[in-house]
Amino acid sequence: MPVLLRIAFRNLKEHKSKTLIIGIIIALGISILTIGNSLMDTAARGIQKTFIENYTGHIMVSGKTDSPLSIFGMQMAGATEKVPVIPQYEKVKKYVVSLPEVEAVTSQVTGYAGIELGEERGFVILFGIEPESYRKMFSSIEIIEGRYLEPGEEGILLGESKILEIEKEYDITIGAGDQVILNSFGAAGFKIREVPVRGIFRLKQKTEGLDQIGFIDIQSLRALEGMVVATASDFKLDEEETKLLNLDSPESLFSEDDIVETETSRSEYSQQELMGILGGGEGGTGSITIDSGAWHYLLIKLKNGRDMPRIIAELNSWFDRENIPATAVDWKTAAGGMAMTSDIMKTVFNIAILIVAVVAVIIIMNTLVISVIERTPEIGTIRALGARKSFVWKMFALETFTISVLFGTMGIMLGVIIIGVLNIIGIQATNTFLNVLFGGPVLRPSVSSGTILSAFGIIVLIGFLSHLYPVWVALKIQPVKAIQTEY
Amino acid sequence: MKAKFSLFHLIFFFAFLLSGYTEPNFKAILKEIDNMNNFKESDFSATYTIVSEKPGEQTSVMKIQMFRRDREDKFLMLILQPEVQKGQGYLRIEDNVWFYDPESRKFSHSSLKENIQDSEAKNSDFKVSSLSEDYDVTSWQEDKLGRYDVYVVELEAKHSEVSYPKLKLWIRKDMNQVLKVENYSLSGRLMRTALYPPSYIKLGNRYLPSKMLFIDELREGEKSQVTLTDASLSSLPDYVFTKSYLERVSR
Repeated sequence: MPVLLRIAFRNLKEHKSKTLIIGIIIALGISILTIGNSLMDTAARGIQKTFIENYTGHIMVSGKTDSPLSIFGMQMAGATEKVPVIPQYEKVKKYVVSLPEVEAVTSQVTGYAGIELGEERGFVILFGIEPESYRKMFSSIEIIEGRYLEPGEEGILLGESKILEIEKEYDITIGAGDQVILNSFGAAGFKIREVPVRGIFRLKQKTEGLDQIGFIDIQSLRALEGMVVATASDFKLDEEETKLLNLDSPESLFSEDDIVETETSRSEYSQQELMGILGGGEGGTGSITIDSGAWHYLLIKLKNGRDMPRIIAELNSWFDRENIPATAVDWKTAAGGMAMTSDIMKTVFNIAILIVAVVAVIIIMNTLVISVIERTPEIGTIRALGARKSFVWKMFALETFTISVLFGTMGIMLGVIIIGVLNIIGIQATNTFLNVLFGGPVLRPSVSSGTILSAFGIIVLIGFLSHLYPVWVALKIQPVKAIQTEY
Repeated sequence: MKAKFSLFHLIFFFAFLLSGYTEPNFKAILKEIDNMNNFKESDFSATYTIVSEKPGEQTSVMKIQMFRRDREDKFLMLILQPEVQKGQGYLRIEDNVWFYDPESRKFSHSSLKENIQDSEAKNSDFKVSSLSEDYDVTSWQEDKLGRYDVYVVELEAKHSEVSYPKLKLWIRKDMNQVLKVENYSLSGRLMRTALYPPSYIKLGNRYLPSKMLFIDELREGEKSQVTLTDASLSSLPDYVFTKSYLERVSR
């Protein structure tokens, strides 16, 4: 082996310029790979942290839909499909809570509403929440004015940046204690709710765009969304009132004879009757228990994020077994398009790196083949002296691996140094897109062991691939012919 | 030979004439259907119970008190149940529809095209029927629906102020009652089917369907049954058709 190493180093030294060219290509490629992947990984971790800690938890459970669904509602613009409520919510929640890996759960409804501002109308994304469990799970909401929502009370929490935007655009001021009028324009028609602003919040990990959300008490949002809050069991329904719904083929009704009831003429409505038509009961929310109603999402935070794929699989198979049309997805699906951005960028970047790697392999291969041809007599002599084919193979393999590992390591070191500098300086997000991509206003990248391992993997792969063809050429050389060749 | 020729032509001529005579006057039939559902000469009040089913959701129930004064293009629709929506109402005066929310004590503009709360029934399902004014007949044929002989008539809207631009009606031949309606979008996509089984409430000389079934054709499994009770033609005080009645009744 030392002989082989000596030969390898001698050859590399003899062809300094070629070695240097190949080495620089490898070193640059590997350093770009290290820097790029470190940036992307840090950004992905930032996005993951932002979403898991502020909005989605690790896992989101929802009713099944045909179109993609995220925590912000249906993902396709103009989709006629409405966000379904979680079927058999109580049963699902009970099962989720019983899993030992689960740290916390909270439920949510998402809606959109117009926010009436004098003559103007703004727009706000609303998360209808259960204040107690939501606050426990997503601790990064920091109240800067007023207070958090109390369980069961009406009210809304608005983000600091949303307030600033409203104040700037509509020239009015909103503070904790003010009333705001919300209009929903969902599929269920027009709904109005006047709710007090209980507090103004700021996210500890600031992410522009995402602090536009208003957190509202669930009952107000259900009313705005026209969601079913009362159920049939609350009323005594006449059998006749559900007769048509229960028929397998409603058109069978037309095989029956006419049924005619003659309505006995009632006397005129008295003022007392007309005024008491609602039965004297209070219109309002008092009779509804919040938790037993409809929810869009059940958000789950795990004790250990690594359990996520297993718990998702477990939940989905339980839904299948229990025949519940619900589904569990990871935080990334729950986050919708926003979290996908970093994945797409990473894929594009890795494709680019792959292309660089292929080019590097071709150049190394080409250079080595030339080197083989130059050294034909030498190879022939070595073979004639009794060296086996494997010796020649090892000789070239060692040469390529020496170049790859030497310069590859230099490349990794260069990448680590640059990332270290960037970590100290910090990359500022200059726009909203970068803000989301960085998972915050400043990106401080760091190199992970995964990045270094994958870089080494690529180095080994380059070394392996680029030595195959030259060796094949070298082994084809007949010792007798090789010795006779003159260069 | 000459006589035979004439006879053939005579039969053909009469057959042609007869077929011409059997084409019904759909304008009159639609007018008759409109009249059956309109109450120009008296006020109308009734209670509608809407039971809606959606897959994966619990059945929802809504009870609505309807007051109509068709001669003045007014209606007031008051939600009696469920408890949480009690007192919400729709008031129509001519072309304006207001929605009232008792919790916020606010009115906002609504539209006849909107669904009533979360059901498959639309506000326009309860307004003055104006098929003969809003639609043109584009085609028709005779058919049978169950044991009933019907005309299947296709209609197209004359203007855009309707909930659905195209309709297909199954009209009973014997009594100008609609048994089934299919509602289509402008592109011809079936949006909703409404069934009116032959179970009627006789009010004066009118027959009102006591039950209706609305099936959402875009979302499978979503349907609503509407049941009519307490129908009356008794006259109503003027204050019923005012915003202040909506405000006062839920106070």
